[in-house]
Amino acid sequence: MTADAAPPAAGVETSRQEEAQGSPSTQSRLVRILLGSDLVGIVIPVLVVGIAMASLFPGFASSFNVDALLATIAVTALVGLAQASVLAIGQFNLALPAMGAFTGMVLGWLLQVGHLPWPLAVLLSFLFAGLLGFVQGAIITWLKLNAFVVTLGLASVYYGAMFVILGNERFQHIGTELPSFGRGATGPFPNIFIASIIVCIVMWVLARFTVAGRWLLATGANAVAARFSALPVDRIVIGAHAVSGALAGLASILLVSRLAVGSPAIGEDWLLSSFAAPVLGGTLLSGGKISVFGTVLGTALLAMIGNALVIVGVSQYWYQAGLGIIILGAVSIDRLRIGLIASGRL
Amino acid sequence: MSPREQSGTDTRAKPGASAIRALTTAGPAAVTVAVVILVLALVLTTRTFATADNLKVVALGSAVTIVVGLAQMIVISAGGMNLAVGATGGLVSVVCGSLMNTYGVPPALAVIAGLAAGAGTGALIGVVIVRGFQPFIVTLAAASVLTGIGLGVTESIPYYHLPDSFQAFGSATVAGVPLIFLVALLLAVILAAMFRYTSFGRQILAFGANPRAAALSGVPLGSLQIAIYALSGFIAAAASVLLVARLGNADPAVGKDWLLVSFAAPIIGGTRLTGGYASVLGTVLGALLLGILVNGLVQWNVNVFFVQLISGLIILGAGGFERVREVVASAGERNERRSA
Repeated sequence: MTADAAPPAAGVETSRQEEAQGSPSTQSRLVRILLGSDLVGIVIPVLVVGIAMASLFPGFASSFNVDALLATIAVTALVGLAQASVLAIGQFNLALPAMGAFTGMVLGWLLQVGHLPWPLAVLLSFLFAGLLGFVQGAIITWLKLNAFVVTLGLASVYYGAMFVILGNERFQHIGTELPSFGRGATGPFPNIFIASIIVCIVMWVLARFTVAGRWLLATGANAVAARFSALPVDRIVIGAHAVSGALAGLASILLVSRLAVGSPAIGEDWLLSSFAAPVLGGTLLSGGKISVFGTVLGTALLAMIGNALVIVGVSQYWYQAGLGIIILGAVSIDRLRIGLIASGRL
Repeated sequence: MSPREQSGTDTRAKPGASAIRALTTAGPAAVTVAVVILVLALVLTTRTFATADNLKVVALGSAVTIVVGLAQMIVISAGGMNLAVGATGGLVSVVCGSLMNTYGVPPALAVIAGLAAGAGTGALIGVVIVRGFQPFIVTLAAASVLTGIGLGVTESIPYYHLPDSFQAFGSATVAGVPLIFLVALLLAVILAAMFRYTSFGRQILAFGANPRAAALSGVPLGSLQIAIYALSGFIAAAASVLLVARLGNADPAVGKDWLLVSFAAPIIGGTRLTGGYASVLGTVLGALLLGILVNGLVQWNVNVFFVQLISGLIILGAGGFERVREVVASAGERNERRSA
């Protein structure tokens, strides 16, 4: 899949550089602003939906609803980033839900059965999540197996291993300290939202200002070129999967602290939104690009739409159908942007 | 079966190497060996496996898996993938169930409508993919839409009142063999004939092997891709009809657990994920291997959760096997070039 995706993305980069030196294009300025920037395209829908909701439904801006909304965004943003970090190298992670569930169950077990202090339990389950991702990346690179098949197979392996080792009972007695953090708030912001935003800022700095981040994007844009440039492509791919697992684990840890239960159902509904949020935020499916705050805003848009449907009283099933259509719409815009970039109009 | 052995100077001189070559290059050979070994092990270690009742259970379970695997195999052999196979099955279950249960439509008509719905949704997916979108994301999104519609319409409640004649079809046997198993085999034979004798079948493989070359050879790519996904949807619908007939109720959750097996059966059977090669026999045997294995684990009193773990390991193993096959094939090409 990487090999398929790489050549067009490489073309994107070259034509963008050519455009920078060429004559200014005559395309509509508005279209260019909307499609050219990662963030503007998503900021406007978020603002429009937010303002419309707040003015139509008084309950929307209530502190209770905002708290629930921000908590949802906190978890889903990390799930989206977990997918985005492998999207950046042009691969997918179908095992994300399994990684989330396994990590949540391990955290629950460490707290309920292991009686560990919560900071240690959180640290260990975070490392465990990173290990799940590392194993995935290692199988893909060391054994040179098809990335799609590996994540599909590992999803089943991780679920199976989780049930075999930890059983299918939820861990409900995880003490009060972690939940009191997860359910607490600082000012108007839930604690888990603040934690999530801090992680997002770290990810943004990593992607934007570190060598590792640039290597990641270079590998995604064109793996062959990256290899010829003597980048450690294998280590980068493994690292991207390890980060993906670690972020899925963090999302799961936040959810466990909020729900006060380690459950195998954690992550069940992550897969679609994990793709929808980054793509809405401007992360390219073909690799070579990651938009951290775009992903957060994409998450916010999804959360508000989901919240709106609950307020209006539409069943969750129709949200699922709508989510599919949103993804199709987002990839259409994604494609439009690639086309415009490639033809030098952006 | 180390790939290094194969990339030696002249493998064709060694008799052992040619056996390895035969196992790794001919599609269904390896899975045939695996099925035989598994069956022998079960016959020797358990007394309950080789009984008529148990074999009937295996056949009933495998029938649906065979058809699900074929629905995915068609798309894989064309170099694509269809994550919406299960969701199509779920929607078809709702279509058939509501027509028979709520509107009193005769079973035959309801089945035809269900098959048409499956082919239609497949064609729609194909129309989107033809416009240049990645099959992965399109079929993932389509799966969400189809599942959402099926669950939204039914509020997740199955249709329980299906006509007796339809339920009888699901439990009927011919000479002791379940009818739905025979239907699955018939479908496989038709597909095998399609790949072997029709230009459509050859076009699918040509497109999967090299889309650009296929286009230059005059293969109509647009209509071909739409037809491929429509056919995949049709076969997924057939799988759903068989399962609904077997269960005796039409559950919108039909197809929820098809994703893994839909890829596992063809890959185990030697269909290449990169496209250009399909093995109907291999897919049937791959599905049988999975069906027999699940049954065998029960016979051996293994914890049911191990089934999920082992299924995952099997698909990883099949992916690894495909990799070995690639290495062997490229080593073979190198050798031929050297000797030529």
